[in-house]
Amino acid sequence: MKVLVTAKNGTRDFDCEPGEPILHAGLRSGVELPYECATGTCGTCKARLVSGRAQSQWLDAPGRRYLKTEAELLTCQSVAHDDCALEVTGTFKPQERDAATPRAVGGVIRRVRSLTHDVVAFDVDLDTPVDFAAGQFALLTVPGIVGARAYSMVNFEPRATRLSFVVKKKPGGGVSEWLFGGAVDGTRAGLFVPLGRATFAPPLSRHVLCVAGGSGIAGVMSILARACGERHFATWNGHVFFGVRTARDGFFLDDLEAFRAQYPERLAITVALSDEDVPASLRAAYPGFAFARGFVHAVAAEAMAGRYADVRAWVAGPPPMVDAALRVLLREARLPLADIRYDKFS
Amino acid sequence: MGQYDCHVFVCTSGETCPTQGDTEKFVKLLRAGVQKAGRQQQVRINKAGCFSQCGHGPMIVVYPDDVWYAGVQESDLEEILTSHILDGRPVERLRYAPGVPGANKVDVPPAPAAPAAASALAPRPEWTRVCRVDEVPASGMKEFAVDGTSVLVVHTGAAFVACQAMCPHEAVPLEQGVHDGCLLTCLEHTWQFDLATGAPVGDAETGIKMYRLREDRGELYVALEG
Repeated sequence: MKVLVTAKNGTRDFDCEPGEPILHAGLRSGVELPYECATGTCGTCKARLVSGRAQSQWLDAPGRRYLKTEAELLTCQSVAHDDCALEVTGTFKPQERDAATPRAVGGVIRRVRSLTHDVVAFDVDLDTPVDFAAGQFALLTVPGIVGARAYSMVNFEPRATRLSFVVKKKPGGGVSEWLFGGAVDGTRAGLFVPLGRATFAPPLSRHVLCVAGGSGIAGVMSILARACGERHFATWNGHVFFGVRTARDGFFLDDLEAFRAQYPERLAITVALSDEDVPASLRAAYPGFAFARGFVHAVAAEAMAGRYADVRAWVAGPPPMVDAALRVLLREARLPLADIRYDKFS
Repeated sequence: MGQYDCHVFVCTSGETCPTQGDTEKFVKLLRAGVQKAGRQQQVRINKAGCFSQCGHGPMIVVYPDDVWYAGVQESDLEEILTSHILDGRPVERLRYAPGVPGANKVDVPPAPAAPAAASALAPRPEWTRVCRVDEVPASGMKEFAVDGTSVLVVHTGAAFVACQAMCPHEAVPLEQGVHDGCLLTCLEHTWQFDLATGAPVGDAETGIKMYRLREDRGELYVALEG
């Protein structure tokens, strides 16, 4: 089927396979349709069906609250039934530097391991290598569970043959419960990758500020791997703020320390605990880190006050944390939106 | 060679700068900072008239560096003082670079009259009462229903402005967003609007309607028409 999409800055067309989300068909054809979450929540991919037949696959998608008429749909959750013409409200944007054209690729889930009582890490060994930009995410589909979940890559490497992810356990959270159920090693998974604009792609004449809550640290790990690999912190500062509830919720601390140890002069790691005072044992285990009690956005705001010149910020975590951090970055730091990159995990 | 190493001009008597920030206070704070650093012989802080960039204020200009700052808030002064005036490193995030030479005024809604000056004038019939001044959080914003119209009143730090209450994008209340005195951002999809003009900024595709607002004896009045 042929899909024709008109945006403010032009008209593009692409082919769509039966059952393939319209967003995926466009993106893999190099048509940069507007999207943000790609999982039916944010509403950014809203489009109006002008002609043809298309069907929404998920009628309870939270992003449908933005739809005002029967003719509107979310391209990430809709398939074409014959040739269609659509109008979108956003614009076609150029692809992010480093980012490859996304495509569907298969892989095998391997090395599922617990990081904390409610966070697991796992890898997907890919059938064919993929390129992605640090900070991007993948859509993952597993057998027996309807719909795709979005997870940021933890690792960074060109022509990656393995993608690493972290998932927080959520009661009733399909894929996360399935991963915690055990015996998933060796299961085949489907990926659509890479996606997302919260990317770090050197060279970049900016200090790096990362504010992450919980599993939002995933993309930050990829950004740090990329930045350290490019010796970014030989010239520019890095400020990483990682928020979790209590000391037992912390993970990746050894990996963060390894990044810090490469650039101890310029890369600073701060761990914020929202629900308890910082135990002396935690301070003793990571003498190179700063620690604070509080919400991560507030801890970051206090530490960064007056230090926002030439800063680009990356924010990832649960929506309330991301919104709180955006308030700080827009109101106190007065960063332009071009210097704020964020992912909301809802 | 002039008389000072660094000569700073703060607009205190233009049409809009003094309504967008307490620029007289800016002068006092900068002078106090220079004095504290013992640099009065090298640095001069002067009050200035209009720079013909109305709507981009409060503005501060630093010579001989020829560095112009726009939208300066009181909280920015410390950084301008310590980084630029005392240490020669301009504050890049505040720099004004409109891309057009010479005068560059934008149309701004008439500034709310100062309470003392306005108290003699009763509001004309077109003005509808919105709220008491203290019902709007300092440097915050609050939505009000005025004759069936939802109006967002924004305290920009020194002045009040009023605009439509809903984001034109997805009808999300702008009150849930964030502003810095110059830019109003809806956090739903980060559409941004210029608080002086209502014009869309960045990804925003349409602007917001600004309403004329005036203050009289501690009460705010809005003109919903015209």
